[in-house]
Amino acid sequence: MEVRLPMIDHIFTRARSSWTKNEGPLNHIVISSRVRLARNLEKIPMPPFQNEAQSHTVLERTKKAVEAVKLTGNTGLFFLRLSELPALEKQILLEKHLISPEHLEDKPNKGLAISADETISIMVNEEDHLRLQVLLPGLQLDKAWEQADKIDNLLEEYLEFAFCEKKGYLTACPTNVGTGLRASVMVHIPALVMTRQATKIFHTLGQLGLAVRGLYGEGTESKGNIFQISNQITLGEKETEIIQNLSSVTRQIVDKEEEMRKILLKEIPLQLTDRVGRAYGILSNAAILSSEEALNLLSDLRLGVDLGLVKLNLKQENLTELMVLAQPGFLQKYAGKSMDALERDATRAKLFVEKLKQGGYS
Amino acid sequence: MYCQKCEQRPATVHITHFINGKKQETHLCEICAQEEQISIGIPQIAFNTFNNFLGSFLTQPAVTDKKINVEACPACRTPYHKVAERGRVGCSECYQHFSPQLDPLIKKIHGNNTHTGKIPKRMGKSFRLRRELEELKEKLKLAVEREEYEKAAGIRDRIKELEKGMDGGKVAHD
Repeated sequence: MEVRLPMIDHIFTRARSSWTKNEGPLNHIVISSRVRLARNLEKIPMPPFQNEAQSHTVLERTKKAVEAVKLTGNTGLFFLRLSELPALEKQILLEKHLISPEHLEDKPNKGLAISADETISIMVNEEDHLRLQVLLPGLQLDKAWEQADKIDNLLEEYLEFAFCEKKGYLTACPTNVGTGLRASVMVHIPALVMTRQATKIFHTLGQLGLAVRGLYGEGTESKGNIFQISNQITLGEKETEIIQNLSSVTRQIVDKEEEMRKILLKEIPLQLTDRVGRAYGILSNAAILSSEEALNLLSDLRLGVDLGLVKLNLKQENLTELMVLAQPGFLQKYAGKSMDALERDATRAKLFVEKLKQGGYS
Repeated sequence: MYCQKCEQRPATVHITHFINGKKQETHLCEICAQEEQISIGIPQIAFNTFNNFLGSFLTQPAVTDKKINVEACPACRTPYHKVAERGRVGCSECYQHFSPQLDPLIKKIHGNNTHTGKIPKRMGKSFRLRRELEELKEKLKLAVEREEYEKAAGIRDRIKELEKGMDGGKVAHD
């Protein structure tokens, strides 16, 4: 068994990640931007159909390529075999959006290349041979695409990716063929949800070829007024067109959310202040706190901070980090043991009391 | 409706049993359902549903004026019914081999069937030039339509230049 490198130990112990920083344009509403490229090696069956020897070949070839690619500074890649990680650590990778729910499946030869700053991750033998992801805080889809494109070019020097002139990059699922590009943003839109505008907007997004999903992507429900919006179409549009399209739609959503926030602040300032105060009250005093309740209250608190209704003086951890910390995997890592649902809810409550009390409220 | 077990939380998991032909319904909340070991792994269920959804696309009869290829893919030996069942191709060669079935589906999903994005470097210079030419011709058409003749002339010159570089313009006319 390979010993895990101390350089990336923080990935599993700290809630902080590349995308949780309060940085990047429009980060008061756009939490993060993600670009994902699906790539497959020529002549080797796709992961859903490959045998163990074939998936082993993919893993080894990718590992070699990743090691040959020289990326500087914090973006240097480390290679992990998922079979060597405890279940809890895999859960943490999922909670930090560094792997997908599908990559948790217990199949042989699954790999992950990851940069120490967690902006870059490459899942090996997920649905496609390679899934390259760049994850940044705020609305920075163009920058994420630039980085992903650069890494893709570097990998291409060592790996032959399946490509055909007409259909572009060939992927396991026909819904990804062409660019293999899925761009997505994670947005926090409490005012649009409160005013029942969100469903109308989602309907329009569907007509524009964009999909709306919950916090952890495909098939997950939305919690804490957080949604992921991504492109559906991957063939027939240039990568830059997909990026620009989603960026401009996101900016419009931000405008609408800001508009609704102003209206709420004007029409029901007392109710808003009450709601934010109650959220803080529960989070800083509760003895049992479910993850759903925590996420919903964090959403209220975040809105209060954004609108200047309250001042929180949180050290180090910001509200996005608390969101990660509220997840079951992280909580168990924090507590140093596996826990049942009630124990988790109690530990979560204790943690929030601690974090918020040290933060102060005014 | 409240959970029948804890009687506190709303029931979100509904289970129907048939015991000796008699229908029996149980309504539980997510937490009690988990304690009862009833798997409600949300991502997994949704993922399968999507598979089936795509599968139904894939099993739809394809356009009939093309010869339908029912033999397994020569490269990975995956038969088409497996591709349809899982909503995933066996290997990259499947796209070529099953194109009579897959092409209409791809068109349906993306509303388009020609890649216009990134090209791997190894695809060679001639393919890149051909792509650039196609794009310039589109731009030329647009400029003429908008009566931007000066711009059109510039684009036409660039096209001529490229065609000269491409084996006496042979590629441009194919």
